[in-house]
Amino acid sequence: MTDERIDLSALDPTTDAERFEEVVGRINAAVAPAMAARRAGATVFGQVAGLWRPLLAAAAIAGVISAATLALVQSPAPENEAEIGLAEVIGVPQQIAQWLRSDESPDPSELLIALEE
Amino acid sequence: MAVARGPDLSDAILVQRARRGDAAAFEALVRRHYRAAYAVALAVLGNGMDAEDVTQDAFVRAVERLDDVRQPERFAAWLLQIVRNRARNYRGYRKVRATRPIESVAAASDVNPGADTERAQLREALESALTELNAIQRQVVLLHDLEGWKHREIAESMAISEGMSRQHLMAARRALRERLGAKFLKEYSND
Repeated sequence: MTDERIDLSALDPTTDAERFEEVVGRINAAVAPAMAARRAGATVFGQVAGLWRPLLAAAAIAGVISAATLALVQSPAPENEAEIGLAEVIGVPQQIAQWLRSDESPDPSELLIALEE
Repeated sequence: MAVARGPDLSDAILVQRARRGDAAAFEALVRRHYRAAYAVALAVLGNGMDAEDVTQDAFVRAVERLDDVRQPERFAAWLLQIVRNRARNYRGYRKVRATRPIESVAAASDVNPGADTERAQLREALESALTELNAIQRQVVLLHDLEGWKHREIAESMAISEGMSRQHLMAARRALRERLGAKFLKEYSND
């Protein structure tokens, strides 16, 4: 006896079809703004707008990491390397190049020795 | 926009479409699960009008939190948890205000009071009898005998065992029969 179903259909909120349609209509009206916002978010522009902030944050993080990495790996150039200029690179003897950069002028014998080297 | 037509589509697909703003898909979910949601709200609140308000409110809340559904195929269980929480909150709020008399509830919901008098009386008697049960028994009997859920579904939704669901159902039916008497109850032999 007690394992038989009890008819609770009097409590069924969908039995009164007209009233149920009113209820569904009220729910639809209440959720309409949220659904419209979802539709807007689902468009290409909406997705781009949604991605904009994360992209900006990712770019900022990448910039900070790059700057830190550059600062860590960058070392000062050797002193003698700074003395090597274009003249040396194109084959002018170092001694002559130094005379060219300085106010010092060689005497003919020094110039001859430098050229022979 | 392509319109989803509910009956043939799974909850998972409807949830997916509703997340993209497909109003028809969400309406299909409302139509599919309204009765179960109402049953849970009624079980917690014991009052038809309050249950209706809370059920509608729960669906609105569900749209706002639709992205939180981790298992869209289990949308119903997720929805009913929202309904339970909203109903409990509402019950707390209701304690501080006067309860609407059940006669006015019946009058407000009847389009044709004369024709529906018998039904309204039965509804009133059922709601009154349900208050004699505990909240778990009410949910089990409403989900099983009103909504037609299986014990497996009820157990999963309420985080209880199937055995406990059966026990609660038997106890609830027994109590309802004692409270109502045979004249109100139409019984089915094919349970």
